[in-house]
Amino acid sequence: MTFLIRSLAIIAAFCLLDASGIAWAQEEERESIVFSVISTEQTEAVEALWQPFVADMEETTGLEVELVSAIDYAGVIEAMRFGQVDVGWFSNLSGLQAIRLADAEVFAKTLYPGGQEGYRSVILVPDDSPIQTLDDLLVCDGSLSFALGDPNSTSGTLVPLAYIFAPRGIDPQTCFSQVTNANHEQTALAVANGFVDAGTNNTTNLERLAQTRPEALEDVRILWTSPLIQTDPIVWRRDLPEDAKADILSFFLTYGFRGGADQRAREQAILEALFLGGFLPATDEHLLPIRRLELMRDLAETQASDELEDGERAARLEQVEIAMGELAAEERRVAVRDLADDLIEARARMDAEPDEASAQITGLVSSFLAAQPRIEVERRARRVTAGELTRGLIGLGSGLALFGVLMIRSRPPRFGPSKLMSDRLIDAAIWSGLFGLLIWSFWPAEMFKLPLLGANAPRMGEYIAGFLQLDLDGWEGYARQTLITVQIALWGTVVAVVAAIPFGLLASRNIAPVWIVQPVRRLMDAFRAINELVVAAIFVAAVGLGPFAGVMALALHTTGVLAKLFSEAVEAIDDGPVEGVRATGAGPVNEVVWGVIPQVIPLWASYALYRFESNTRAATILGLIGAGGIGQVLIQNIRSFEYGKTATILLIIIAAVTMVDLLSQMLRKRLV
Amino acid sequence: MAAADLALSVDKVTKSYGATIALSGASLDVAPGEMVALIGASGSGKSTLLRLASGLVLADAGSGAIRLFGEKVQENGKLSAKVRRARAKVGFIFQQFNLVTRASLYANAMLGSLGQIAPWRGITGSFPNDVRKRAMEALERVGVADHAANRAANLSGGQQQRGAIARALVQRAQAIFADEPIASLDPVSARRVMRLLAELNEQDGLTVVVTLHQVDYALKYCRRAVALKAGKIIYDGPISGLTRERLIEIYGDEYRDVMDEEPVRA
Repeated sequence: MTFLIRSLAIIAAFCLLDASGIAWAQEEERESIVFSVISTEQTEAVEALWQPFVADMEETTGLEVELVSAIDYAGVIEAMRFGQVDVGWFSNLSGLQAIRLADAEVFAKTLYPGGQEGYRSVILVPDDSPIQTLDDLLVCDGSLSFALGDPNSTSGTLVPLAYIFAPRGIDPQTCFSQVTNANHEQTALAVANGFVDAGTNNTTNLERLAQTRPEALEDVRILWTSPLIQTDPIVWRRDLPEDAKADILSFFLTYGFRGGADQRAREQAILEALFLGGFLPATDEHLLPIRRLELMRDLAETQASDELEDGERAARLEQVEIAMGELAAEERRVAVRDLADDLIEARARMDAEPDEASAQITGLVSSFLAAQPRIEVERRARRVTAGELTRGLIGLGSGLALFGVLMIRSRPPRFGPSKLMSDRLIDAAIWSGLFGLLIWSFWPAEMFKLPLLGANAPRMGEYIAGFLQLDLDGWEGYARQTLITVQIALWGTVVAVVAAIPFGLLASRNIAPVWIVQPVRRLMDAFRAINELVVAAIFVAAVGLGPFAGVMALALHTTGVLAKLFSEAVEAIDDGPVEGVRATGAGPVNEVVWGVIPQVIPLWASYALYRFESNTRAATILGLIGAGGIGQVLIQNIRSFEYGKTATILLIIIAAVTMVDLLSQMLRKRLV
Repeated sequence: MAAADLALSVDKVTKSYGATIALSGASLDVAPGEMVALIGASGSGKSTLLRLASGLVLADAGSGAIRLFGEKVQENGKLSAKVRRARAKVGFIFQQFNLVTRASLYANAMLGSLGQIAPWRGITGSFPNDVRKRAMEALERVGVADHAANRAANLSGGQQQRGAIARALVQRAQAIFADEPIASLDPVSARRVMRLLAELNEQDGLTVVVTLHQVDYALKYCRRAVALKAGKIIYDGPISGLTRERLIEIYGDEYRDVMDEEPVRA
């Protein structure tokens, strides 16, 4: 008992130390900046690739530059909003969100290695597909499946929506039998293997795929190609000091094109490794096309949504049209400015080549006029959703049928004791209710696909076979990252145990009055219900990307779980010892400390150790939001189809979880 | 005797569980230094009376006051604010011992001091030295000092019950209330526990109130008997007043057969 108390005191002291450490560290900020890069669809080596670039940036600007790589745009935008990231390489759509949410602005844009200023979205179909035209794809009879990109992806989602679906008034969700969201590689592979009938992608990614997995490209055919989409923006926080901005801007614009031939060659090599051809200056105007795409998507979604009342739909459409109008005015300003420049240039040639110049002037003006956008708003009939109701009725019907059977089966027997009518009703209701729910959930859970498991077993075998070729390169690094994951899990669990002790006691009906128990239990429900990823994103706002956000996310979720389990243990105790302590005249806290806690310690310890094991696994998921550890490496490898490396990582994770299990078994024996 | 001078005073107390009335308008006074047996059939209300007296159970609204050594425990179905001071004066012995089974016998004995020391000392387990000394002395006295370091869970019933009495000694209780203290014990342990209670009563002047369902132990160790039947006190007087007819009245007609089969050994 005293041991427990002392441990708590030590933990509390640590927390205080930690807080003072944070306060101290903040004083020497601003000398350094944080530069974020998105590592989607890059290999795990993304940080290694960027490191020489960052080193050059530090040398040129005199700033200390910290490089962070994250898989998820949302986390970086949140981090930028709360001053945890200063400069970032974004996609067009996420850059737009950064500008809106994080008070950021575009200062440069990337170029491709060939110097191109953009890429094109494509729609892929399997090479042997009967689909030959967009019209074949858009039959919308629910017979085809379609793979869109990540919801935030420009080329994977936004461009196809804006250029194909919105103008035709088609909602992909109703047009296709199934719409999946995945990253570009997964989509390409799914199309190549014929798992979907069509999927989105982009030209840059196809070039990359041609190098890494050329065999996959042979199985796909490009059905449609979009207009040019601008390259990615480089964004900074508006409130960076002006001199820092100047240093950073001059570094980006000159990089790869400065100094002697040696330096230029070296920097060009670094850029090339990053699939970049340098940077050009840009402003927020860079994002005008993306804003247009986004508005067209909003328009399409508002029209297609069947959850809106007609009045609300009209109001939203009006909002979109107002925004479209504002956007058009901005686009017009840019276009007019460009036109003016072009006209001046053309007129300057008037003396030398009058005919060509006048033809050029006429052409410039007419193409300017033709390019002015026109919005066509089509109204669509609302979709009828009969399926849901039918399924509900089928579920209800089968439940009632079973209810009848159970009631007949439980009739009083001729010999032997009979059951109470109320017991029979309740038993029958529980079992038939469960059965009805199962039937009702059968289609939404796609349980009808069960036979596919048997039929497509060889395909699964093929997939698994990829894992069998272990790639042991860099396993020490993976082991180190796994250790970090275990360390994250350890702290997350300990913080949760410390928090769950008071919460668990307050959620126990035999300890606390009902007006405390109920609110505490609902709070714990909320802690449990909210996904760790969401919680982690919230903590990113306060503490930036990295393991600590993961610790806090695990801690919050685990507190919800442990407090519930702890309180159930407390409610199951024997009242005897509590009365024994109470009868000595002890106060309520001592009743709990001596009467309750010794009884529940074995169970509590057992629960806490079990959660430590599951948190070790859960901590790997947190890699998704850049919480570090093996999860980040694992996800990057899965996304870049490094099966051999993924298998190595999985083996190391299994080994780690096994060791944690053995350790906790030993502890459990000692404690129980 | 005024209520302030009594070890226990119970004034017209009623307790019901739903529709079942466990105790109905019972009044009882116990003077300091008495050794009283509460007897009666199962469900007669004797345990309820003892648990009410320590404030472990609340009486029905409308009941009178219950006091221990002049300190109010409860009145009108509400616990007194000073109930913990009252409880500290009385050691309570339970049929199932109610020790903290995962703690050592030594720690259990020290728990007797919880009503007297600062709460933080109890919470952190830093008991003062004089409590530690008293705990060893008390374990010595009840004869389980050899097992002081053992977890209560690993000891026999008799050893645990003597540990519970040691806890009452550390508590410096002026009275011991024992609720069926020997019902779960073998005959040898039972005798040892009852002799210990009688010794504390005679040598240390502790008031002892003990509920028993073995009449022979009551006859052997107690001087006063209080008999309950269906929640009412139907006899309160010297132990010698428990005649054959009275016992048949207390336990019902079938007790006649019990006595005929197995003569009471006094």
